[in-house]
Amino acid sequence: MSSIVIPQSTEQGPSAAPPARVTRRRVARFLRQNWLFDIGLVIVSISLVLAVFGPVIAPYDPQLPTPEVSAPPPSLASVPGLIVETVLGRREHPVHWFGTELTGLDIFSRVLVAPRVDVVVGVAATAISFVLGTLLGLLAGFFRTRSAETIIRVSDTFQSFPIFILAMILVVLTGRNVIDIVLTLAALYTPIYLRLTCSQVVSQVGRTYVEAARAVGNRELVIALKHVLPNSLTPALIQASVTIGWAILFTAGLTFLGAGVRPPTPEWGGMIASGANLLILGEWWPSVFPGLAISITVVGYAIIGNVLEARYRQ
Amino acid sequence: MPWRYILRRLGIAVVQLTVISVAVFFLMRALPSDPVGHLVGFNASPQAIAHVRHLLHLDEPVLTQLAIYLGFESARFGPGLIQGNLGASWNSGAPVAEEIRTYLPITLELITYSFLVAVVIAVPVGLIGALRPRGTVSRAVFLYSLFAGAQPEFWWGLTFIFFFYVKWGLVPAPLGILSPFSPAPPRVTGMVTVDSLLAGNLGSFVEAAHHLALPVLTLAFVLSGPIIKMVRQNVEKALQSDYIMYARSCGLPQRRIATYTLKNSLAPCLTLIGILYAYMLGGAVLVEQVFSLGGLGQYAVRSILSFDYPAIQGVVLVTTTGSLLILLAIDVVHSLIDPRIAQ
Repeated sequence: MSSIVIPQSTEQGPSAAPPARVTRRRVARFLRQNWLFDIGLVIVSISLVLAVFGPVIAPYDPQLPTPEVSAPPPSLASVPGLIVETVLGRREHPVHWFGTELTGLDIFSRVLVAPRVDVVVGVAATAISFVLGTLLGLLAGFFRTRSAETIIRVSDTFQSFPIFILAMILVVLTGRNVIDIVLTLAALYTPIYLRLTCSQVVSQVGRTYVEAARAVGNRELVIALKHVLPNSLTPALIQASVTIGWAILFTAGLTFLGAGVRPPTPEWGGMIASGANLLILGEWWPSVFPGLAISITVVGYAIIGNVLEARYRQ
Repeated sequence: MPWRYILRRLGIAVVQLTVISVAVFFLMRALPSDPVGHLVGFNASPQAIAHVRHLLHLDEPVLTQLAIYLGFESARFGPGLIQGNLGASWNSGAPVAEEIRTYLPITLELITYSFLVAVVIAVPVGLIGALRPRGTVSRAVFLYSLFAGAQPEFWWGLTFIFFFYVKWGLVPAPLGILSPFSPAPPRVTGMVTVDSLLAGNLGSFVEAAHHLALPVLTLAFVLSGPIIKMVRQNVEKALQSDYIMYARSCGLPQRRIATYTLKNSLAPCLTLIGILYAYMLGGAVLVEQVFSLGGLGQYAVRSILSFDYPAIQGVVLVTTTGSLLILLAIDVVHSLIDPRIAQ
């Protein structure tokens, strides 16, 4: 039975125009016309590269204090000269581009290594919640049974919960490890994907292609996974980029409060917290640079999500 | 008013509240935390540990502990939840309800003003952004809402403090709502700005407003992002809808059309504002911490970091009740705007 090939044209039903195929030329044109999206793509790529190679790139050990305590960053005028010296290899010690913390830790290196925690947590938590949420959402939307309704009710209840407080409880009481933060955030974000996918699946089940797949004798589970799921994923995929950004903000916020990753692990929110007291005294660099890093990174992920969403809406 | 709808929703809310309270109760006892160790400190003798365990009723079976918390064992262990008692904090020994009554109004004050400012900014900006979807202004609005919605508010709070306090001296030190030397107005609601007005104390009011300006600005900035986006999208959608086209073709005056558009597009925005407000009951903690306001969020952090179970349970109960009531209120308003929902 399954050897019967369903022609492509039945996939979208007669009323809906088939979506334009994604070709290399169309992608290239999209990238040329959307400079904003390109910026987002560059930021996201850099953050991912740093998450993998950060410790290799960083000039200093992010957890090993240097003798220079609370050194300010070099003045803007001296930066070009310092870059030339660094490139030519004339410096005995690498430059503290962002200055040093009160303990003598090199801020530039710590900012570069921090994605190991922040970005990895964001991507991992989003990946887990994406898989769990879309599968549960598919089941709930496709087989509209009693248990499906229960899933949705439970996830609704979950969302009326004070989420920030719940996250703090979970992370602190489990011991404040990175893996606890990942699992907590994954649990918090799963309902988002569940709802997105579920409502999308509900709008798909009546389509002609589903009927056709059923008519040729596919099993229900095969129809759900092979035909309905790929057609219901777009909103969830768009959401993924946004969720990574949220997770980065969440991780940094938790650590800022002292309820996240333990110091001296380099993490942007923790760095801001340790620089906060010095800010009042006029030393701005320990908290400004990690803050800029969060701000730019999260904006990058938000750009990708928002631009794709705007395009999807058209 | 759709009373039957409200009653049914209240019933569901009570069930949700019970489920969440019990779930949090078990969650805290299932996770590997050590409140006794935290209280007795290092090098405590086994007898001391056993004694503290007994004092906290942690040596009872978990179900008995639940019964004590809920108040079914009030004869032996004193009143519990069903008698309206949230227990005493393990940190301070003070009744949790009393402590929450001190901290909650501060959070409410902060987030209510922030939402007012954010909405006052977001609605007109979102409207302008929706009028010409492809124009320069619309693009700028899109960029702003994207940017503001993706910012670490605690860092912006610190940055604002650096400029407005350290550099320019325009605002008072970020140390609470009133400076430590000013007398607080007599307590009525717990919200300093309201209480000082009730007491006719204009000086206090101005001082509180001055202290609140920067935290409110910080929070309103971050909140304005998602609200602008929501307003923009919904107004755009409404303007393209059939009923607006019909209204236009009937030759209705521009003002009537604007009313229809707003009425239909602000309802979803109201839902978003409600959800954000409920989230901020706990989520405002970052801004509270930066400005040392002493709100409910900070109380929650303190309690969680010191494993103060009764305080944590109290905060969860209160914030969950708050968010459920807010979401219910939003739905009721919704059903008044759009009667199809209540059916």
